[in-house]
Amino acid sequence: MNQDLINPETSPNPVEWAGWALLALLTATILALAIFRPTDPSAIVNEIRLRAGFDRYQAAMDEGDRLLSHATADFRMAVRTDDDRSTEYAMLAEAEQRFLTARREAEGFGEDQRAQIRLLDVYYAWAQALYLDGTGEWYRRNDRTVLENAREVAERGLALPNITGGQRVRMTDLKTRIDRAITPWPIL
Amino acid sequence: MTTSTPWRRTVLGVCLLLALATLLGGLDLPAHGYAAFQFAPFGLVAGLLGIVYVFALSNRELIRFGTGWHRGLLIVYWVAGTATAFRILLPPPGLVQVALAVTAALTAAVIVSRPNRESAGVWLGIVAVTLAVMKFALVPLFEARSGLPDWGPLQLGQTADALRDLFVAYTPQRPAAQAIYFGALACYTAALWIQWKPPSSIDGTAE
Repeated sequence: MNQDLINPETSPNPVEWAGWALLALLTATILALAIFRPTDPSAIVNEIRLRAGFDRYQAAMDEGDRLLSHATADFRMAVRTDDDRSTEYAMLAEAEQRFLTARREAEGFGEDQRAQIRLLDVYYAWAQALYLDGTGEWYRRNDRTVLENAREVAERGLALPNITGGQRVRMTDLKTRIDRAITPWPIL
Repeated sequence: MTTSTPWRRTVLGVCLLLALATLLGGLDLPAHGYAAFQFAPFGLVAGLLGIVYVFALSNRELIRFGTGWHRGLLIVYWVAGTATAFRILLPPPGLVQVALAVTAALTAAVIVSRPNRESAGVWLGIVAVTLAVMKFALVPLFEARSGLPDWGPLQLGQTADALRDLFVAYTPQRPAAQAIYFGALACYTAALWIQWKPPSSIDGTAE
């Protein structure tokens, strides 16, 4: 132990001890931020609620909503010509997992249906983005692999039992467009 | 090893300011994407520049480590703070960053060769302002004016984006980011300021 910390005449006063504690806190915060790399204050709160098992249904719904809204906003704000949408697709996949967690944690039909409705919104945004990626200008060939992925996502949405009628019609319409893009001349 | 109370308090103030500078300077506020904020501490290039500059600045006595158990603590926080300052001021990866990082490393030699502390301090300011102008004025202008449209099957826009990323892979940030970075650099400057006097003049002990 250093003499100046032990000696009563030179040992730190309470304010100085508070300063050293603040320095330790700041350093710990920097290290925690560098290691865990959080990206959103509400994500931190939701993850804590999920891990702690405190109101897991609502935490999963909130986190899913946050990811879905960011992904849809990003799709609208695409600015660069070579925009890589892998981040948005990753967000949608994560949102899907959150809403599936919410379905598992749901207590009763109402909560389960709310989760399914949000889940279909995820699938619709996902399938529509894949559809737009897979189809291009008239002089470009459609990307069959991407469109088949879009159809698979749309089918996952249509398999949900308790979505609203309007949602089912919207998704069916999108799936028809995807099918036509995959096979433009079905009669042949 | 004993150290006096005034110098220990100066050390505490310097470390607090440098820790705050490191915390603020590591934050990114991306304009696009789902992240509200990101914390990205300095990388290898900024870290090495931090070490070189801490050596140069201590050589010219712009920064002081004193003696005793504070010495190691101050070295760690000064290196982290200086590396964070370079992380703020250097542009994103690309050929522009290469040129500026090499120039900044060479300028450390200019700082060491200055005859007094004031002159070395002015050169440190010149490096900071030059890098800031390049990153916050020139690079966004280059990004905004170097795009090309896609003309049908001719994907000129993609080619322009790829070529632009070779020079500087710019990622736009929200305007608040510049205020945060200014706060971080202000903390760094304040840390330089409060230890401007040598420890011997603060508490009467020899350094």
